[in-house]
Order: sequence, then C-alpha cells, then structure tokens
Amino acid sequence: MSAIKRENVSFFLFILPALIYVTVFSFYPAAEVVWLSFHSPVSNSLTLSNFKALIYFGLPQAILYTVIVVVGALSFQLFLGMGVASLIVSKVKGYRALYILALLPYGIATVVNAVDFSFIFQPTGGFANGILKAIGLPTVNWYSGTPLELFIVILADSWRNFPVFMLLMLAGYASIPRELYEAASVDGAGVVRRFFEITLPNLKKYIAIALIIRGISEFNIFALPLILIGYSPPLLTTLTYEFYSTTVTKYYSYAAATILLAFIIVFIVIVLKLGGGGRR
Amino acid sequence: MNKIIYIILVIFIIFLIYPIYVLFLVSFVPAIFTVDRLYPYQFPVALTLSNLELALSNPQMIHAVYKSLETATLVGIIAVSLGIPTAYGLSKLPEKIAYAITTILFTVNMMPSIVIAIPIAADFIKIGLFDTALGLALAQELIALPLTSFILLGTFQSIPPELEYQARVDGAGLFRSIFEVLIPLAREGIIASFLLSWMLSWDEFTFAVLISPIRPTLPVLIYLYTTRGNILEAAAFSLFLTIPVLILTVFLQKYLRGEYLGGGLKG
Amino acid sequence: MIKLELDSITKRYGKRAVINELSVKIMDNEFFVILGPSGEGKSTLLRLIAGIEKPDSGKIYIDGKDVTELPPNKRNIAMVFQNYALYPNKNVFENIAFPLKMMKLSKEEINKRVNEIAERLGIKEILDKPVTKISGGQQQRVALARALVRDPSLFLLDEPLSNIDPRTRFSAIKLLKSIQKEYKKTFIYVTHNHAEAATLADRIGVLHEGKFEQIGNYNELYERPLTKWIGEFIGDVPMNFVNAKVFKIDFEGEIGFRPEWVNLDDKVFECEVESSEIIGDSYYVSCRMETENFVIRADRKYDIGEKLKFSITKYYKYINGKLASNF
Repeated sequence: MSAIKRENVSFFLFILPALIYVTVFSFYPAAEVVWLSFHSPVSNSLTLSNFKALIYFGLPQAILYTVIVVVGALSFQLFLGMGVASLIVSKVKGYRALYILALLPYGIATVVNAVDFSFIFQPTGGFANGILKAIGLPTVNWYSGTPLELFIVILADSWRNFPVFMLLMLAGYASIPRELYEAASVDGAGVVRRFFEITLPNLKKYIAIALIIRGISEFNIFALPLILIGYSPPLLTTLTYEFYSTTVTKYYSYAAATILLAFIIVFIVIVLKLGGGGRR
Repeated sequence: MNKIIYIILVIFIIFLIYPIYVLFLVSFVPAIFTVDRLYPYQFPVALTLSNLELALSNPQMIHAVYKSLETATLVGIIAVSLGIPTAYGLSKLPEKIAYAITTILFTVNMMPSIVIAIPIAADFIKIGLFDTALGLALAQELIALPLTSFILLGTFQSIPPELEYQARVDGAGLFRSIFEVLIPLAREGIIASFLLSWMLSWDEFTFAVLISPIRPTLPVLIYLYTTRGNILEAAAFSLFLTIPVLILTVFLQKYLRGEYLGGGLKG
Repeated sequence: MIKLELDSITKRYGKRAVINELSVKIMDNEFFVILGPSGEGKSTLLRLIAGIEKPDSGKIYIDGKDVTELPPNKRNIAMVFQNYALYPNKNVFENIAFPLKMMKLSKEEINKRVNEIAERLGIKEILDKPVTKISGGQQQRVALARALVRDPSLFLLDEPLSNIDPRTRFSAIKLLKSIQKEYKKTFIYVTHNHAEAATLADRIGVLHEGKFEQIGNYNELYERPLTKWIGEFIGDVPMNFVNAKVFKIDFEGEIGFRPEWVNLDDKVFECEVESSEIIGDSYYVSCRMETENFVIRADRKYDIGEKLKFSITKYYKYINGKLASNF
C-alpha cells in the first residue's frame, strides 16, 4: 500500500465512530421500518396488506394534504425569504434591524410556535378573530374545514421557518458580483428584467439548497400539526403517529412511515434534477 | 415606489412581531384578560408574574425541565465528542472522499424523525434505554451530528496546517498535537457546536414524544397539557422553553462567524 | 559526513510527479539552499524530508539511518515555516519550551535551556509576552529559538524571510548565517529569492520539474549553467541562448553567453539595437542579429536603430537545452 493510502486509512479511523453511530441509529432503523412495512405480524412473507389497509384509513388524504402543506409552505417561505433578503440587500432604511428581527421567529421552538398560533387562531374568539372583529370583518372558525386548517399550519410553519430561506438568499445575493448588475443597467435593463435575468439564475443554486433543507423538514413537520390541528386533517407524519399510538398493530404506522420516506426521496430527486444538480 | 416598499415593510414587521407579542401577552398578562376571554385584550391591560409562578410550582414541569436539561447537555457533549474526530478526519482526507462522507452524514438528516423514532423506540425498550435521557440523547444526536461535523470541519480548515506540522516536528505525536494545538485553537467552533446541539435538543419533539413519553421533556409536556386542554399551563411552560433559547441565541451571535459556517463549502 | 541522503524520491499529486526521482547528498554543517520558482515543489520536498508527507517511492536517510517510515516527531529535526507557526495560545516562553516539554525534560532543565537560547537570540525580555503581541522580527527569533532549543540533527527552513520587510531582512540573513556557523548545524533552506540563496548558501540545489537540475555554489551556477533553463533562471539578467550559426560557429545547436561576456572594442559582429535599459548601474541593450535577439551589457546608452559592434569572449555550447562541452 502506498504511503498516501496508509495515511488515509488512519484518518478514516477518526470518522469511523460517527459512521458506525449513523448506521446503527439511522440507516438500520430506517431499513427495519421499510422491511417491516412489507410484512404483517401474522405471516412471514412479503405483503402489501399494510399499505392496502392504509388506503382505507386515510392514506390518500394524508398524501394529498402533506403535499399541499409542503408546496404551500415552501412557496410562502421562498416568497418571504426572497422578499426580505431583497429588502436587506437593497439597504432599505433600518435594514440591519430588519435582519435581526427577521431572525427572531427561528429562535422560537416548534412546540411553542404551535401553542402560540393556537392562541391566535381559535374556533371562536382568539386573537385573530379579535382583530377581525375590531376592524369590522366577520370572524372565522379556523377549524371549520380542511382548507382553513391546512392554511393555519402553513402560516404558522412559514412564520417560524422562513429565516432559513432568507439566510440562504442573502448568501446567494452576496455571491453575485455587482458588475453584472452595473453592466445590465448600462445595457438598459430595468429592475424587473435585472431580477429575472441576473438575480434568479445566480440564485438557483441557493434556492435549490434551501428547498431541499426546508423541504425535508416540511415533509417531517410533526409537532406543529399535532398540536394545532391534531389527527385530522391527517398528514403523513400525524397519520403515522396516530397508528403507532392507537392501533393494535404498529405495522400500519410502518407502512405510513415508509410512504413518507419514499416521498422525501422523490422530492429530493426532483429538486436536484430541476436545480441542475446544483448542490454545491 | 418607495412608499409602497415602506408599506410592505411595515406590514411585514407587524407580521413578524405579532406572534411574539401574543406570546408575551399570554405569558405576562393575567389569564382572565387573555386566554380565559373569548376575545382576549390585544393590549397588556395588566402585568403579572402569576403565570410564571403557576409553572414553577408544578412539579411535573420541574421534572420535565430537568429531563430536557439532562438530555440537551448529553446531546451537546456527544456532538462535540463525536464531531471533533469526525471533522478532523474529514479535514485530512482527500476532497472526494470527504465530500462523499459529508453527503452520507447529511443524508441522515433527510430521514424523517418519525420513521426512525418508531423502530428506535421499540429497540430501546429491549435494551433498557427507553424513556431515558441517554437514549433520547443518542437519538437526537442524529440531528446534531451532521451540523456539528460541518461546523467543526470549517473550524479546523481555518486553522493553518503549519501549526499542526510544527507540533509534529516539535515532537508531538498525533494525539498530542490535536489536543495541545488544534483543539485550543478550535475553541470557538467547539463552543458554537455545543450550544447549537444543545438548542436543537432542547427544542426537539418528535424523538422525545416517541422515546421518552413517560417522564417527558419540556416540549412533550407542553404537548400533553394542550391535549388535556390546559392551555394556560402550556403557555406558561412555553415561556420556560423559550427563554434559554433566546439567551443562548444572543450568546451564540458572538461565535457564529462566517468562517465556521461556510466550512465544508470551502475547497 | 553525509547528514541527509535522498535516494530517488518521488511524490505525486494526482498524476503529476511534483518530485521526480530526486536524489541528493547533503553534508554535515552545510548550508544547503533549495532554490526554484514558486510552486515547483520546494516546500513539498522539505515536508518530505520532515516526514510531514510521505514519498510515493524512494528512501530518506538522516545520519545514515533510514527514516522514510518514521513520523516527524521521531526524526530529530527542527523546522521553521514561512509564517513561523508560533502557537497562538501560548506565550513566547511556552512556545520555545514546547519541544522540550515533548521530550519530557524536567522543569529546571527546560527553564535553563529556554533562558539560554533566549539570551543568545536577544529575546529574553519578551519571554512572558503572548506571541501575537510581538513584532515580526521578534517572532522570527522566537521561531529560531524554538528550533534551536532541542539541539536537533537537521534544520529545515521554509522561506522564513518572505514575510520580512527588506530592511530587516539583511540583519535576519546575518543572524541565520551566524547561528548556523556557531551551532555547527546543517541547514536546509528553501527560497525563491536568488539574492538570499547567493548570500546564504554553501551549495544551492536548483529544483526544476521535480529534480535538482544543478547543484553547486552560486558562482558555479552563474558561470557554468548545465542547462539552458538554469542559464535563464540564474542571474539578474538571463543568459543569452542564440543559434550558433548566427555567430558563424559550426555547431548544430545554441551557444549560451552572458550579456557581459562580450568585448565592445573587438568589432567582429554587428547587431541592431532594439531597446535599451538601465539595470542596477549598467546599461543593457537588446540587440538583433538576423532573426535572433539577445542582450548585451553596454558601456553607454544606445539609441534604437543604432548599430553595435562586439565580439564574444566566452560561451558554451548547448544541444537541446543541455550543456554540450566547454569552450
């Protein structure tokens, strides 16, 4: 073995503990779940019975609502994050204070966030309805239908998490050389044109990173919907937990979990393809 | 045009601050004016510490705080103990291998917590780690470790390699040079990693609710109280959940510098 | 006595052989300078000698012992890096004491040795200061003290004077040279600065394409370059290499001659002046004959287009860039 290879092996030993840990606590349990989801407690052969049962217990709705929440939250957070970043970058008056303020929501724990927004949005009364009443608008029962319930989940989640987008957009803006904008101005491009022709393409990589990081978290949101809307309307995570804690067999929850994992993998692949493999 | 921007700015700032303001109201205004009313007062008509007292006098909450503290500290310690050798190894390996391993570590972040928590909970029952701080810490470590490795990698990369060479030439063996030279110089990155991991654990819910439901951590306790309809206590406990994080975030500002965060993205 | 021997050392980065079957013998008490353009592998070579990097093939012997497989802390060498690599979290005393601490010497012994060396290098007053708060010149002396305090077999220095301003550099060079002679140490010194090399070296190894293209003192390199590359590399003004036929020399190759190896009174050849400039206190004229250009050291300023008559007093023959024979 050449000297270099020998050196590499010894450095590899430093990484080994972390790799072992990750395999034991992450890859192995995940494999376990997927494996079990294709089995039933009675037979030893591969079966799709868990998945079939799930379809009757709300799987299609859970999938639909999860996708709605993910798309809605990501869009909203992208919009907010990009918007605030643009404001900060354009050095609007008080932009430094704006930056610090905009970071605050991320410091709020998800559980606290959920409790907080459950005070704001209540079926009757509550802070939000208080404001509506004060300005003469009719009050809303925020839990009176799936669209509204999904809305408040998206709102609460985006309020708390958009700073991640903002930070990544700021990093992206910092990476665009000013000369590009100056040259474009000289060539006669207006604000909107410059945004679409210069800003957006250069930001693509960062948007992709943000979408992947936040997207995975969005598929995973659990505490927020659990506290805010409970088991219904179901999301894949809350559905999984519902089965885990209420049904006799845990195998349904394994199936739901497997489906969730599958969606996340598909999502990442899609974003990577669209972002042109721009992960670095 | 500027006027429109300012209006948008004002609306946005209200949007940012309002939920925090509500939190403040519910925590420090007597309950009769807030959660016990159909339409709570939007302004602080009176201030009180009685909500805090309510929380502090609740033994369940005290226990939950201890559990959270224990767990978070363990997560911080394990994160640094595992993160330092990992980051050191990554900083020495050829770029392609380091990149591949970093990707593996971040893949871990991709696994939904709920997917992992379920089998882990079952396995923990078998080996006696169920409902323990150590068990929970080991699970929560999955969130902390990739980030910690990334930050520490950046930290190590920002230390000139000559310092380690010098220590080796001066007679220090591999471990001696790491402990005497690298780690003291990486102090800030290490502290930042510990604090971030601590905060991640403190806030964590999914693993906590599945692995440690009987003697819960604070986030789980809050959830349990909301399911029972005790939203006032839930709000009071939330205050205790939030305050350490706010303090630590301010503290962390000092340590969060671009060099560390941009870490693994450098060459 | 041979202090260091490198036997056919090769080091590759990817496909590129940065060091390519390099062999050399460096003697006891020698001040040996490794000279070469930046980025050519001089620092790599030093790191290989130190043991910080391992060669892909070849052997390294220090004091006759095969150290190729030994880690740096077992080779009994000292090294000074370009940026001095002083431990920032320790003060001056602790920095100098560090190698002694690694040797597990007693506190009294460490104290004694550190103070001795600090005295010799004139840094006794700053022993308790943090290393981040002392001047560049002082830092350099601390780095030297740290290297000397162990009494090592071999001294490696990697461009230690690059970061010093020219005024301090002169006294730094004097210090290095006197330390080397006084302590009777073998110094291996890497630099890209020709003046440093010329002043300090007993012998210079010019590193090019992974090998020492020529080894000798500065004079030898200057007066009799073994290759065209050396001729152009060494010297304030590059050596001229011109097709031999232009000077009516019957030889299939080039002749090399330095700008000052001409006689302006002996008007054998004539060339046309294309440009003229002053370097130092002499005039150098770029002159053209047939299709060839070369530089001649002149006695006065020449105008563009003027004709200059000269003869060549000394030259060497080169085939394919290599020295063919003497004149």
